[in-house]
Amino acid sequence: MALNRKIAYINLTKGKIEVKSIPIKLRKLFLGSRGLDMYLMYNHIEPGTDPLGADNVALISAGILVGTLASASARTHIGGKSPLTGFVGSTNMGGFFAPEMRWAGFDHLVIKGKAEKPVYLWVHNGEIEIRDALNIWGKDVHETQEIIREELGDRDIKILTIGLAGEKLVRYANVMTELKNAGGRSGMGALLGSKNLKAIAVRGTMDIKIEHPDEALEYNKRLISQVTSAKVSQEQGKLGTTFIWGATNSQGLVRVRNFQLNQLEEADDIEPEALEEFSLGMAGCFGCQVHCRGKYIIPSGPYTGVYDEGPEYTSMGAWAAEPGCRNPLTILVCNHLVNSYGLDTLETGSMIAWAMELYEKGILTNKDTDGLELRFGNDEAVIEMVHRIARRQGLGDILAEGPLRAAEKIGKDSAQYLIHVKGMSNLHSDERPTPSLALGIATSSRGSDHLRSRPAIDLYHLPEPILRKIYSQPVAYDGPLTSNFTDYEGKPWQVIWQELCFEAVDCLGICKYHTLFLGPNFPNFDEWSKLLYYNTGLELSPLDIWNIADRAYTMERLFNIREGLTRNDDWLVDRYFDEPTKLGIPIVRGKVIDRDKFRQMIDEYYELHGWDENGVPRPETLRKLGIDQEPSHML
Amino acid sequence: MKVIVIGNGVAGNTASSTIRRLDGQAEITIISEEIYPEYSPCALPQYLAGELSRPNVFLRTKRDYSRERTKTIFGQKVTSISPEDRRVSLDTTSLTYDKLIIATGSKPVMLPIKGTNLDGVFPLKSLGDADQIFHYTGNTAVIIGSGPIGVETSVALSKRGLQIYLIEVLNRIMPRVFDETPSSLLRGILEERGVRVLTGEKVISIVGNGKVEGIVTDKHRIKCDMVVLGAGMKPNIELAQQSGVNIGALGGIAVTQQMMTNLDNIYACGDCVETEDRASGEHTLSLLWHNARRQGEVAGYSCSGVPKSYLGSENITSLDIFGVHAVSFGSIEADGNQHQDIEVIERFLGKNYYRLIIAQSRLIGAQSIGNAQDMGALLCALIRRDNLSEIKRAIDKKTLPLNPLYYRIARCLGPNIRRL
Amino acid sequence: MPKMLVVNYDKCTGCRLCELVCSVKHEGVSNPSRARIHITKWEMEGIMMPMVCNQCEPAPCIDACPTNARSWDEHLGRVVIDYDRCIECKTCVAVCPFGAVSFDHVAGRIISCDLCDGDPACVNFCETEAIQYVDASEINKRRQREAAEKLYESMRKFTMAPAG
Repeated sequence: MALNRKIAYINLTKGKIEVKSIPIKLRKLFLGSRGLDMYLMYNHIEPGTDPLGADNVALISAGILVGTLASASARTHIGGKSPLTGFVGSTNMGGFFAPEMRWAGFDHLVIKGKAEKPVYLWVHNGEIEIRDALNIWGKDVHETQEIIREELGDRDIKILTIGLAGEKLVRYANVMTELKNAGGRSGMGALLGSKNLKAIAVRGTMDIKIEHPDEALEYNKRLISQVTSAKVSQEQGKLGTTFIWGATNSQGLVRVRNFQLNQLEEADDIEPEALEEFSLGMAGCFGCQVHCRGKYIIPSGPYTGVYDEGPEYTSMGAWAAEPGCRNPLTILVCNHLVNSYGLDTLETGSMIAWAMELYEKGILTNKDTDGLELRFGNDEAVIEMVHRIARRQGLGDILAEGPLRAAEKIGKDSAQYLIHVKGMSNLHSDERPTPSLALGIATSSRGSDHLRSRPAIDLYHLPEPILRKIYSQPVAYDGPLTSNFTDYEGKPWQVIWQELCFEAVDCLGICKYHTLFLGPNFPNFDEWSKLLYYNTGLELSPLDIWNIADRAYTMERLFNIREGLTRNDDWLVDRYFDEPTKLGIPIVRGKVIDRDKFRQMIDEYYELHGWDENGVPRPETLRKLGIDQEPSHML
Repeated sequence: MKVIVIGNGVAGNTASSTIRRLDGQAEITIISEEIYPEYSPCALPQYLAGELSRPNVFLRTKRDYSRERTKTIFGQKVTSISPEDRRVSLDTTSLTYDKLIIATGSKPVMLPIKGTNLDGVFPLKSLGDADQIFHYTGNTAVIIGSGPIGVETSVALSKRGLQIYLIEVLNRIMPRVFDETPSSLLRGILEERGVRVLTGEKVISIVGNGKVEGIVTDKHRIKCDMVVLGAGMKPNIELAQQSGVNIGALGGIAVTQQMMTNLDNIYACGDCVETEDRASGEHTLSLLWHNARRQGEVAGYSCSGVPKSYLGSENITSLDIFGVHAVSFGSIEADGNQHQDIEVIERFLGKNYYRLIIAQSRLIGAQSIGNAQDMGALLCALIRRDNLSEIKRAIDKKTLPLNPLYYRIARCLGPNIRRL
Repeated sequence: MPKMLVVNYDKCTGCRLCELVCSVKHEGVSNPSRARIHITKWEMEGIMMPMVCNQCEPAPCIDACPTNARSWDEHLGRVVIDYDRCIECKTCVAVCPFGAVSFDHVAGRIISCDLCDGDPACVNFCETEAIQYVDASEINKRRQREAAEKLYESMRKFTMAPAG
């Protein structure tokens, strides 16, 4: 059955592997994947642990519905203390790794210690082997996978790997699978690199029993039409997530030239429709009918003929809007480079754009850049900086340290040009006109982040009754709600709701594009409850799932507080409050976030969560959630 | 039309069924020395191993023949054929024909050694042989000859708990089917399961007093209770030869692509004929089930006046050795007849092994151990004589539409594709 | 008229839902290694090719079966397996050009597409219509052939060419 997958503890220092069952009690408390990883993180990582030291723990997991007939149930979660922020490190990616890991018999891998020399793990049908990785150390993400497949002799092996960036401990290095499935943000690639763990190869042919196969098949069919009938899914299926960038740019909600502007003008050449010219069609993750992964071949230049996937929304910001470039080729090339180096596209683009603003302001000079003209709009310089960051050369070595450490090294006023929360750069969107989205990134448990709590449907101007219907389930809510995205009222609840929605699907292993993230008619807690029952036999009500998500999110908060997080960390940089937006449609133009109102929002957000005014969960909240005795060391 | 089919194997039966399908009126008689309705010789090892019950060895029942309105004369031997008056003589009677199909199959090669007449020495060709082996009691068996039949018999008897000695005069097992590396991998599998494999060893005699007690080789004396002769098969052609049917250079009946012999109204098909190998174009004795079936079909068509051509035999060996699938197609590298420059691509893929034999950019042979799911694509390339360099070019250039077969072939080649 | 599966390689997004629903429908489990359809992937090239039994006629697997366990089902236009006859020799696995016959290691038997008795799950779940179930007309057969670059004029069809 879907609940019998195991957890393996792998100690790379000692070369020891221990396999255990996951108690059903913990399943009912945390379901799996991100939820259970957060429990493990709180239980296995000592406070104050050096994120790049041997004592940090890398958690790799698959959601409880992964591999089943829950649509888009393809997600792999990777957790650990973040080398970038020092708080919760957590990332989630699609592709085919997670289902393969479940067919190989495992839901969770807990990786401790540090291997003496480079190794990779070979996980297959209930067995785990630590293998020598000397021949793949230094190889890029794509080569690594080919070499391992050849070595192990099976084309269908799925591989999670780090690239050069992870080996070089770039603090925002990704964990990757296939071409572009990126476990980004929070530097989980550096965490694996610090353990000398190059890759994890999985292959399995073990049954996952579907408890009620006929119902599960029928229900899957229904959910597929529910999701694919939405216009937004159809657009995604044609253009990928770049279509969102196109839509937000047209309103003036993107970030240009490191926050100096909020709209990229004359962007015709890089509009999603223009990028279609390079598209070879679309690909999908496991079991997903939305197929939002673009496929392209670089048409000219030094990388002619290279095949890759993407680009995503974030790469549009990173390689066009933020560095002020308008060349589609630059987007395709940089997207390919970050994929093969295993770099976080968002963070890398942000760091380069930040350095460009510093160069513009004279804080960085040609001396710092080894002669590279780091002007906005210099495509060549952008591409060169990607190489330098991944290889930690010159200025790249400094930028590889992430926003706060880099600003410390560069000094002067450089820190005031950073666009970050908790030491993690913000998505290349502009949240000044949208307090709800601003609150989301400010409070997110893994640093500035749009995939933790973004109530993106706030931008749709949905009528209040519809909002009320959505946000009053599965728990009642009778506070204010407003259709106007520039308002401050009612937004904290939307943020919390979205937060728990995302937490829930991350436990289940379902993609966020199959949730309320994108539209009001997408699957919701009700649907997940049914999916759980049909596929695994687990009977949990929508409210039960909500509570699990709440419990898991609170564990993340507890972890962060234990690592020294305070209310001050749930805050935006000054530019959000002081520099008004200059461009865009009238409703977004001239906007800043109001400090007082934002402070009130945060108060309200804490209160709704059952946290005190410092953002610390109240004892009764912990009791109610059943986590007042943590760490409880049940696993 | 009166048709006589001599032989009740797959070739004879396929010929007979084909004729019936085309001609409802034909009078068809199948004559067989054996008393059984058609059975699958390929299933005999499973029967021996106790994995298949005896009734499941049969492919047809007596009733199937009568339903097809085919007359059967089982348990009788054809003593002569007189082509002039189109007559076939049996021990006690004779019959006339309009068309005659010789499908007499093959027979075991007998070793020129002493003791083959002892009780407990068996060939393994017919169901009768299998029945005898099945019911013979003993603890130790020697299998002489390590062709596919010898190996399958070793596996089968080993599964029944017998101690097995597999003896091969050449230096590796299945020497005609697998090259050295795969052969030694397969030997390893056999040995792991307790089969004692002795290669480069010649059996000199079988010893015993009325009953087998052991064998003597040029190196050892081995005590045993049973000996199975697996030294190979040869076409059963005596009857045809005596009747004036031409025999080819390899010792099989010479036939045209329509399965006609040199004599009017006499056709031949199955193990007793020699044909052309589709891939190499050379003459061959195939002695393989699927080729016999297709030859039977063509012979049936020809008899019925529908001209079809047999395009040649395909050399395919597929056997299961203790759950490990071993496959060989086409020629092997060690084949002495190779007169061209050969390139061998060898790949160890985890537990799987692939070996591709290439001459002038064309695949002429392939061997695999383990997963054989990509082998069909290779077989396709081998038979179509695809130019592998062109396949590589198509893949490099991503010529559209993509041919899935090319990709499966390329999958087998792996990084070696660069060498093409 | 019997119907046939037609694969349009260009439309396949490689999501493998077909493999999943196939194994659930036939075996009640999620396990692509037990599915009758497989997507052969070259991830680094972005190539995804659904490979499924082509229901060849004549079929190499039927030809090669030494126990007549595989036979042609005229009614649904498919190759069927008689498990009472099958001796699991796996010859069919080795000769299928499409790699579409496999050995189910859990159930210990040979499997290949049975067209779900006329209601193929893979087709029902494929939104992009990369795999379709259409009349086995000559036009569709030709379309299928073209889709795979005349792949289906595989060698067996020429085994018995008209003479001359």
